[in-house]
Formats: sequence, C-alpha cells, structure tokens
Amino acid sequence: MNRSRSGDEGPDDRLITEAYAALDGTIPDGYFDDFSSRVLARLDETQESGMEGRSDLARGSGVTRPDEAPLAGATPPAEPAKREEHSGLHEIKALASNTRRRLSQRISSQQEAEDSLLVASSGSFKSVALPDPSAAKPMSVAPLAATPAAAPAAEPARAREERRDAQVAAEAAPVAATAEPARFRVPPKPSSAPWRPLGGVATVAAAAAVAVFVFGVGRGGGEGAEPDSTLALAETAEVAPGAPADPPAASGAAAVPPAASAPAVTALDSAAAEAEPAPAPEPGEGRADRADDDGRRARESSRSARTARAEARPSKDEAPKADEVATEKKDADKAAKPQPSASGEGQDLEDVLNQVTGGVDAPKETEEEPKKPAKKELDRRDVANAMGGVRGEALKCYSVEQYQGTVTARFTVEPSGKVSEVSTDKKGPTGACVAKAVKKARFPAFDGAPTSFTYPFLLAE
Amino acid sequence: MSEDDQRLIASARGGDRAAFGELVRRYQRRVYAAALHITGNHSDADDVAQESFVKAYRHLAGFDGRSDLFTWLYRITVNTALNHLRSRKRADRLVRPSDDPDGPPDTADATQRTPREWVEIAHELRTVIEKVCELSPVLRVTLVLATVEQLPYKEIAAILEVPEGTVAWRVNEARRQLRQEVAAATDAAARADEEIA
Repeated sequence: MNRSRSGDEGPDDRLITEAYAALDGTIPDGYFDDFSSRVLARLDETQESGMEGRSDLARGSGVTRPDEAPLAGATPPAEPAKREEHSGLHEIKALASNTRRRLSQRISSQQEAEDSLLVASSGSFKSVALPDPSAAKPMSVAPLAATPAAAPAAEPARAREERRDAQVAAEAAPVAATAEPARFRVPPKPSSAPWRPLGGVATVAAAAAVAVFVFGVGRGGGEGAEPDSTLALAETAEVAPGAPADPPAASGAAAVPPAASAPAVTALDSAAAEAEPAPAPEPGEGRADRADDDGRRARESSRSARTARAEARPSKDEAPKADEVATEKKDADKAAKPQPSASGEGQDLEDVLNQVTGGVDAPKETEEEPKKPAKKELDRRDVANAMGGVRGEALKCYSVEQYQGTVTARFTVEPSGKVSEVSTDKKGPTGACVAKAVKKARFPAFDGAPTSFTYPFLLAE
Repeated sequence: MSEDDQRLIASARGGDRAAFGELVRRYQRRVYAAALHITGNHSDADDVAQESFVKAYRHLAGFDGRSDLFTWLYRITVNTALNHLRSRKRADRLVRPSDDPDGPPDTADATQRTPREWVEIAHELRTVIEKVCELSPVLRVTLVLATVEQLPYKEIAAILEVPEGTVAWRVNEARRQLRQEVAAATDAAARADEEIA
C-alpha cells in the first residue's frame, strides 16, 4: 500500500511488473494440456460455420471492426470481416451521386425529387433511371398493318409505292407504344369505340409520315428523289379521306405532361375524335421548314433518345431491329400519344415532329412522372445513409493528431438536405476535420424545420 | 527461426493439422500470457489466444519467414486483443491475482515479505491491475507492452503501427493516469481503514 505512494511516483514499472507476474501465477495448472486441441476444434468450427475471420468475441455485437489492424505478413484479402463495410454500397451511392448530378444539370426543377429518390435507396434510383423492363408489355404487332387498305383509292400513285414502308412504320408504332411503362398508359374512352378504325388509319398515317421522314434523313442528300416521295407519302397519309386525323395534334399531345392530359384518351381515340372536325392540312405546308430543320431534328432526336432512354430501353431490348426501325418506333410512339385538346389543330406536321423528336417537354414528361412528395422528416436510415457517405473521410481524421476515441458531431440538416451547422465535442484540428467531413453530408430533402442530429465517429488507427 | 519451426510451418501450410498443433503447443504459453496481460482476465485471454492461433493458421501462407515466428504470433495476439478490448461492450472482468495470503505471488522478492505484507501487496497488485484495465485499450496495450513485456518503443511502434513518438506519449499518459487512479484508490482505502480503526 505504501509503495504506490512512495515519493508520489505512483505505481512504478516494477510494481506493474509484479502485478502482472502475479497475474501469470493465477493460470490454472494443466490449463495448457488440451489448449492445442481446443484451438484446432475452434479452427474446424470457424471453417465449418463459414465465419472465418470473425472472432467469437465480436459475434453478435453488431459492431463492425474497422480497427482491425493489419497483421504483419498476413494476407489481407483473406479477411472477410474487413469487407463488411465494402459491400458495394459505396459504389451504388457513387453511381447514384453521378446520376443525380447529371440529372440535376439537365432538369434543375426536378432536383429535390431526384435527391429524395436517389438517397432513399438504390432500388428507387433504379426505378427512376432504369425502369423495370417487365413494366413494358410484350411487343404486339397490331392488325394496323392491314388498316391502310381502308385508305381510299384517291391515294397518289407514288405514295402507294411507298406503302410498304408505311406498313413497316405502322408495325413499329404499336411496338414502341407497348414498350412504354404501364404508368403512362391511359384507359381508352369507351365512347370512342366506333372511331377506332379511323383512328387506326390516322395512327398509321402519322407513323408512316414519321418513318418516311426518318428514312429520308437517314439516306442523306445523295438521293434527291427520296425527299419528294417521302413528302408525298406524308401528305397522302394526312389527306386520307375519312381519316384526316391531325398528326400534329396527335403527336403534339405527346409533349403535354400527363398531368395536363386529364381527359386522356388513347392515341386511336384521339385521332378519331379529331378526324371529322379537323381539316386536312395543306399538302405542301412545312416543306421548306422540314429541309431546314433536318439537321437540328436529328440532333434533337438524339438528345431526346438519351433522356427518354428509360422508356426506350426495354423496347429496344425486346425487339432489336435496325436503327431506322428503332427510331421509327420511338417517333411513332410519340405520335401515338394521347391528345387532350385540339390545341394542335392547324399545326404543321413538321412542328409536331419537332416537338416529338426534339421537343423540350418530351423528356420532361417521362421524368416528372416518378416525382414523389418530399419526406416529412428524416429517419435513421437517412442519417445512416448520409453519414455513411462521409464516414470514411471522418475516420481519416485520426491521422490529423492520431487521436483515438469517439468524436461526436452535432449538426443541423436544412430542409434542402444540406448540413448547415456542425460542431464536435472534440476541439482542435481533429474536431475541425470531422466537422468538415460531416459538413459534406447530403440528406434527402424533406418538409419541415431544420433538424439537429448527433452522430459519433470512433477514430482509431 | 528454428528448422523445426520451418518444417512445421511448411507442413501446416499444406494442411497438416498435427503440425500446426505442434506449433500451438510450442507457443501457447507465451501467446496466452500476452493475451492475459492485455485483457487482464483468463476468460478473455482464452478467447483471444485461441482466436490468435486461428488467425495465424488462416494467414500462415502469408508468413514470409523473415521475422521470428513468435514475433509474428505476438503481433497477431496483440492486435486481436486490442480488437477485443475495443469491441467489447461489457466491463472488464478481473481475476484477483493473489487473494490467497498463504500463497505468495510469483515475484522475485517474495521470500523477503511478511504475511501481512502479502495481504497488502496482493491488494495493491489487484488495484494496479484493476486500474490498468480501466485505461483505454490503446493506452493499456501500450503500457503493458512497454512495462510488462518490456519491449522497446521501436518494436511497440512496429506492432501497433504508430510512430515511436506516439508510443512514448501513450506510455507517459498511461503512467500519469494510472498514478492518479491508484493514488485515489489507495487514499480511499486508507480512509476506510481509519474509519474502521
């Protein structure tokens, strides 16, 4: 008793040595007789249970072991426990982050909804950017291929020669239409059933016009006769008696967001509804514009294809065809969109095609659909997700002062999802380093007042 | 490293459990002692020692033989024990090193003490170990390596993979905290004795 206080030195090294020597003396006799057999049994047990690398001491504790120091001469990849925090989640997060940034650059108004979706889970992210192909209905070639026969004999001869191409486009139209996820599908209006045949003709005409346009663009200027025949077919389709469906109006509806298409009808019904009152457009109308806008349309079409690939991908996968046919399908699909009003009356086909292939609103329509209301409040998963993104950087703060211990960060999350205020219980460079890392955390946007959280980081070597 | 060790290692790498069992028997006492010194109780020391050998077996292929086998085993043991201390939620259990006044502890000057001194020393040693076990894991391990195992700072730094300066700071800090805690404990014990008297 007196020894520890002699000279106010406290327990010197000799006393510590004595204490531990005494501790050694408490090892029971015969303890090591079967120690090696117990080790081998444990080795068998760990190998059989597939729990290699995990100490029984750590089992069930729910605590990962980032502090497991590398063993000298050991083979690090053989440690499954070290992979617990590298299960690929960070890669998914990185992918989500990249996609979020890309989408935010394109559609800034959607950022909050995207944030919420992307941060929520990788599954939500998938539904935003990569719709489940199963959502698309199987490809079906409608009997529309035969409907052009209903077109009157007044059809010009040159256009009749192109009918085969029109049929190809007509086949493409339902394919593209069915490739769209079911959530964009609207129920048909029962009262419009009698107009279906006429609507079919109108759809075929619109699809044929789009297809021939695409063909004309794709073949380039080397074939001078092609544009004329293309125009002839388009015009013929438009002026088909009994089916003067207004393709501009029909396809113009594709640019209207679903929210605006409350009185939604199918493309066929829409076309039929417009058939009688809609006057046939002038045959030559828009021809000059068409030539001028060919290049722009091609570029815009490409952009539209990129932004709408979430919808286009399943159909491409299911019905791999030539590039022309794929483009036809997409355009025909757009043209077959429902038409809520007669706002498109009098529009030139070229304008409609511009809207369809390069319309600014077209991709918005597909991306507004999954918009969800913001969260009311953040939950544990949100905090865990956000902190998981910065945890690695925070843990690196150990190296600043080689401080080992828990640093608890207190921070406030704004409704926008950004961290506004951060403080730590550890002062100095280490605390500042952790605070800096936490500041970078991003939460999903939520409705409500700024919320404060505390989150501990265990710093260790 | 002896030729016997090399032969046993080669056999164990080939899956010979008996050879590995022989290696365990050779080093079990030293490995267990290291585990006991760090954990402070037999139950945890048993777990740590066994786990250390299991890890050693699994990583035997990575042992390049440049260092002594025990040095390698010792590092595994220290790291395993350190991990154990960090992950353990429960309080350290402490065995009483020498409660039996009739049985003198295994110390160098045991024969020079009176029976009453044995009681005091036993209590004092208990207090020291108890307070060592209350130190943070890194301070505890560093202090044990420096004072009990008497390893040079350079080697401790290599085992714990920290700079030597950090080792020195930890040892000094551990001593300071230990001195403070033991003094407080002995003062409390002295006051209790006075009240009884």
